[in-house]
Amino acid sequence: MVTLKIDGIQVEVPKDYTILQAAEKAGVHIPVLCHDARLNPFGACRVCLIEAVGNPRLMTACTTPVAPDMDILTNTEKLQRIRKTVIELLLVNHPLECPVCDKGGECTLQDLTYEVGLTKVRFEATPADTPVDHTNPFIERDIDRCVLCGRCVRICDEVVNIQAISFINRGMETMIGTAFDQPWNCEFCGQCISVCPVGSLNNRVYLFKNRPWNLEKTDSICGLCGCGCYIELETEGNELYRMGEVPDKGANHGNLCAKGRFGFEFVNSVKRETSAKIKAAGEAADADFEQAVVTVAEKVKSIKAQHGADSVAVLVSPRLTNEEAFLANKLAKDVIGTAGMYAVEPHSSFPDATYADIETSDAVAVLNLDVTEANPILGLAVRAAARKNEAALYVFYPSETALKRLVTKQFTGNPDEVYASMTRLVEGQGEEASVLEVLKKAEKPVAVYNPYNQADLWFVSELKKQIPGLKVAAARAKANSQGVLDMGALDAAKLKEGIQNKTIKALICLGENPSVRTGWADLSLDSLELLAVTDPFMSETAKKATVYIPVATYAEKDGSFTNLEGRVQSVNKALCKGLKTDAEVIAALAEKLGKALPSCSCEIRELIRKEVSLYKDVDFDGGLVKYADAVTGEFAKPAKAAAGEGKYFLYPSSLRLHSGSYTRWSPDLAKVYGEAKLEISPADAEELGLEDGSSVSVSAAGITKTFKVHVEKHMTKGCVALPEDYADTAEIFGKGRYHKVSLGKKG
Amino acid sequence: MAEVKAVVEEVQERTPEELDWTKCDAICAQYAGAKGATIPVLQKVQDAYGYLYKELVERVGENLNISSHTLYGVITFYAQFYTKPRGKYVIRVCRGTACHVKGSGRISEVVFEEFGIRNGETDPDKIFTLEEVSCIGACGMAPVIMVNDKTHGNLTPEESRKIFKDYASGKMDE
Repeated sequence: MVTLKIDGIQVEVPKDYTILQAAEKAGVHIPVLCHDARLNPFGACRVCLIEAVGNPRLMTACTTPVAPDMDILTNTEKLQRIRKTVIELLLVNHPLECPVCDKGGECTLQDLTYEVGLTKVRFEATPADTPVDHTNPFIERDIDRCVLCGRCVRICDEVVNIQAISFINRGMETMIGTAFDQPWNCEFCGQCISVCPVGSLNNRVYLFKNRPWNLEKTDSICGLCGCGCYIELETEGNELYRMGEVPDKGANHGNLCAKGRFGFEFVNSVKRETSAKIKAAGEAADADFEQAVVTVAEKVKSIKAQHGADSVAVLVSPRLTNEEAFLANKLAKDVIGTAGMYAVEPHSSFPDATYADIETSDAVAVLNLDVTEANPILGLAVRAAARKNEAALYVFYPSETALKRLVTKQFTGNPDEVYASMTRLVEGQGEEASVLEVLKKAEKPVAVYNPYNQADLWFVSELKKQIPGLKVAAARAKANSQGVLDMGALDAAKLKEGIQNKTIKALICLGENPSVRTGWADLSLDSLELLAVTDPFMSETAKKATVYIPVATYAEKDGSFTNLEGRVQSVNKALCKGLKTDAEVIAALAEKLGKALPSCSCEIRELIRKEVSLYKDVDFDGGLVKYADAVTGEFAKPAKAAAGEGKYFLYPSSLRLHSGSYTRWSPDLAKVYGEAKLEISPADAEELGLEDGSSVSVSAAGITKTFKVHVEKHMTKGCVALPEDYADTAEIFGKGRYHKVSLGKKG
Repeated sequence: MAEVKAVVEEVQERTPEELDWTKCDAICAQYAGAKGATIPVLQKVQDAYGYLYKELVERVGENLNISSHTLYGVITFYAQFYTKPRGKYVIRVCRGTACHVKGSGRISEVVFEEFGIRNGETDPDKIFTLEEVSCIGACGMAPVIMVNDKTHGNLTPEESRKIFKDYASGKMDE
């Protein structure tokens, strides 16, 4: 520890602190422009200059480490004068288009100009008038407004590790750009926008739609994937305008991905249903909420009377909050009288490693998962381990992934080869034996895996047995995948069986869309006497519903989600679209069935504390649930991954900018990736005479479907991939995750 | 607001030699695992291929596990790297004070008249590249030019024209 004085205030800080960090601790404000706590110190803008008594040179607070007995002055007359000049010089080339700039009101440069009291710029420069770049679908770039703080370049490199942009040229001609002035092409995470202190990089989804001072901010948790990112929902009235990042709260350190940042538009979608629908004689007709609930209740009663309680089943979506899932379980168990609710989520995996465990790990194995695509923020933790902690990183996946630049070694090949490779890893044979050694010797080894591949659990449980210190992270797909299990969801395999052999006559499907879920699409729901579906949209399953009730999305309700780390975080209502929440639907239905259930989330939370032992003492604002085992059950050593006779291996790729079926209703994401495309290697494409955009028929498991082709150079020869959770691909993946398929050129 | 920027991607047919990565990969392999190898690799690759074009930079990036954008940042920072084709002969016309007074501007004009290239440009046949430089430190020979490593001094425009023609016809190679 080091003791020093800042503006006369004595502070004691660790010796690796910078003066800026020490000042924060002392409660002294030092203005900054190019600094961001997530990034390495840079010292480009010179706004944070300070004086150290006895040292004639001025120093940048953000880059200078503390030393014992320093006496720092942060606001002398000299410093005020210099800071004013620094800002004045920045404003010479920065066009003062503030009235038409989208950053107005939340611009760091604007705020600093005000703070230093600058009213006039004494110098003039010819405006560059460079055209605004609209080539990126999400990021508008006006390089004239850039002040070259480098935050975008650094976050793209240090945090995201994509290196999609760089400082181009030198001196006066420096600008932020790409190699050979290509269009910006990246993961579209928008991290660069979030750190831009001026209006140089703008969010096109939000551009010119509102002004920041009109927006009301509600802290919440992103409702898309299982990462559980802390966000701010920025609303005016009942319209959601923007996702805000909160760097000092939550496990994601303010980092967001493309879907989290730009995929919220489905909340405002005009395609959302507003009225309940009841199907009579094959025709769905509008009905009011009361009518719909009564219809469901009556049907449930009559089916129950005729076939017994077990003929009625409740299926919940992993997007419901813990409170709603708890209530759904009560509905299933206490009101209807069945064994409990079901969820289409794997039941053998539990949270183990936290993001912090992964970030500080020294050896990470990624097993059969494209982690940066599937769960981008979990991917950032893996990247941080490799990049900041220089961890050994091993990736087992059919194609090359975005982690390629950071890997110690990647094991690619067709799915059978990947399984063989992971088998050798577990058995300590061949080249993979050395990987096992590294993991065994590591202080904090971590494995990240895909719990949706049941066969992969054998590898995980075997590794766990061999490496006692190994922490594992299951890449759960949906916002509350873990939470619905904690609230008591049963394995939906039994439900599927029940529907197939027609013992289940009524299905109350809360938010779930089984018609596009992997492994479920081949299940016919026609035999059901009652299919009641709640969903914000007319989903593929909702179209088949006897009764459909439109419900609120995560932005419109209170509750909590449990993320893939096992972290419980509160979701807060930011707006109201006049629709009921699933909790209200359940409570109304319970009432009609003769039992009162609470629908207010605080009351339900109290019940959860009483009845769910895992959640007895947990803090609903970021507390971690403690699970006994990371993996439970006995697993068989998987044989070959793929079934079928075709020439090519087909595997499910991650969702390519989407998170399940909701984000497909977000127009901007859909513009970039709107339909399922078949990814194929350039070599295979050439062999078949295919190019980007041409059509190809894919035959697998007796089904033939036509897709557009996307030639992807990272694909392994002999392998093709399709995204999951699309109506078009659901049928194929309904029969299993890996297939050997034949391809044929169309047209 | 300015208008939407049209993206014109430079479509340039590359020759099979330009897309033969044997040399590039061999150079990168020499530096495998070494830290701080970017600049020496770029220098050697530029020597081998003449200049650093898009596909080449991407290939180097794949080998070094650095994005082409980051590499391009390095390339454009240093004057020693070229992203445009270079001629067989690089004509450096001294535009220092002494040479300027002695009429070196006229020599640049001669180059333009003969080959149609201005400062920084290369003729379509890739014979000559013109570079106007600040001072090559031979003011006694003003006006002075360098063609690759060879210095020619005390020139008149007409003498320079003859020299360029000799280079163009291959006479100077002998």
